Amino acid sequence: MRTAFLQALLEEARRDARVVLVNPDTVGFYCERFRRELPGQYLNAGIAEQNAVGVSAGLALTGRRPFLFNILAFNSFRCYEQIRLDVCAMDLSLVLVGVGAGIDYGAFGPSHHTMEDVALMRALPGMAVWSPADKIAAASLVPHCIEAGGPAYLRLHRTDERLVYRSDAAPELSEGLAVLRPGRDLLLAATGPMVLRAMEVAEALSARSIDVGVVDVFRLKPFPEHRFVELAKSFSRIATLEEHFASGGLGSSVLEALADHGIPRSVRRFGLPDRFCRVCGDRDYLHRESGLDTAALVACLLKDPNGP
Amino acid sequence: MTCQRVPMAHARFVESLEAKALWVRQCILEMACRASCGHIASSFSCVEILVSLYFGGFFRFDPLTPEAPNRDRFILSKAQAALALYPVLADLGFFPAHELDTFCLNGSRLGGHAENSTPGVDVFSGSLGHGLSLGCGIALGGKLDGAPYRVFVLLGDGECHEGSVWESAMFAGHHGLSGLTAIIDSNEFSASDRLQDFLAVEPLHDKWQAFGWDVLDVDGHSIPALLAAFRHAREGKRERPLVIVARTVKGKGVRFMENRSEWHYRIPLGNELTIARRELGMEDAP
Repeated sequence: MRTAFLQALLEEARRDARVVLVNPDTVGFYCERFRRELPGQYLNAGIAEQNAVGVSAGLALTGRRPFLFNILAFNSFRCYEQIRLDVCAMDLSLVLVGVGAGIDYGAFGPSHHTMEDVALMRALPGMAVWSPADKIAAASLVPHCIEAGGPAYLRLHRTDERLVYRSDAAPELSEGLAVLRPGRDLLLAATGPMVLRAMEVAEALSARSIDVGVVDVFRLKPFPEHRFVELAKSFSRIATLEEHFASGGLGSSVLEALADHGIPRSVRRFGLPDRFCRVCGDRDYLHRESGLDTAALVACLLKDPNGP
Repeated sequence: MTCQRVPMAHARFVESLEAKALWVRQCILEMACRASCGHIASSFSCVEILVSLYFGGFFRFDPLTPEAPNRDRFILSKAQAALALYPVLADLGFFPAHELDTFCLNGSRLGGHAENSTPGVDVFSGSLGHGLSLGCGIALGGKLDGAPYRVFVLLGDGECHEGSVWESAMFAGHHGLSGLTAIIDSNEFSASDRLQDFLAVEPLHDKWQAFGWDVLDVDGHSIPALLAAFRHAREGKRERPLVIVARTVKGKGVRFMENRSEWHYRIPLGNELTIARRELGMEDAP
């Protein structure tokens, strides 16, 4: 996903000299091609995330369009105040792109996990929060963010390269969501790396004659509430799936939208448990530990007293 | 773009700037007392710095085109000194002088910390340790563009506790941002105490030099010294960023406030106000 994103960024940067790639010395290997081809538009800002955000904001004030590329955990927590004041308070066109959504960094441990970043970022005025499900959607965000302007936070994952979208059929980003599978009984609303999981769960439940719909919510802020509420009306039950704490992210946005629009639906939120992930393991292992693997989700939805 | 103020005969010019500095201090006192809000002592310590920068002839700007791309930039990183900046900007015509009376009042655009919604203020501020990073980005952009503008950032010495200041200092030194000038208002006090008594920042000169900066030490209340420093900042040939370490007195101008940490927050009342006004050459009542 990051390779596809950076390729799309390189193509855009060739055409648009305002585009600058700022990298605080992480995942630099992936930036190498960009650096070699467009050294004047590339900056390794060093292991200094606060300054990297401030410098990027300063570059934005000179008319540039910086993309600050980092591991997600270091593109959000340490430099949150810089994002809040230097970027959002001045409504600058600056894109924070991070890799490693949720527990994507697996055995690297909680320092590298991002379980609460969506909650933090969607709290910031003017910040757009994107959570693409695959590299097709991720790459299409490059021209979209440049065109849209303003602050944006992009949440990429790195370990699952399976596709959700065909290469000639990227989702319509301005919609904020895309229905991947129609249904009637249960709507699975998923984001980012959990979209493919939702498709697997839907497949398993359909084998039990349950008609499951799947929607990919790739824009978490502004949440596409009108489209979502219209969609939700045709389902009796909803479940949300995200690789983030169950509170503060997609699940919370869904509850807020349904409550604000007076649409009473039973909602089950699936996300990471409210604790640091202190067991060591790869992402699949940690998903099983967190109850986010397909078998656990299917079992949970089947035994739900209200029925799936 | 031309300089807005061309130095006249030196002694008279310095005298006129000293008179301007006194007027700015009077404004600071009256604005803060009217609003019962603001950081008087922090503002007093940087008055000569701001007056010398804005009125000294070495800072290029035009209040009629405040967004001109090649204007020099000033960032008040020690944003609590907004009280000192507003009278300067009003006097130069960035906004009407009567607006000074609205400082910190409901609906005013002149808040306790300078924001970029105020004409003449380039960046949002209010939290320490941000301004130098922003200044680095603007100076780097200018360097890449071959633009003629200079970037000036005013920091407090207490602000140098912030780790982000040193991230920026290292960045500017490495990239040789010669268009960037930092000014440290070194009044030796933070909000609560004397720096050397709880977390010393000295030796500032050696630290900045070690980070790859040219360093000038000046008396931060001497207008001739500050004018010489700003002349050097604009006209000197350099490969490195420049820091002007301005030795100042917190609360300068009103003796009972000088070097007294409680005056970081306090607003004078009753007899205190009477004495403060007298020391600033004002009538007892505004």
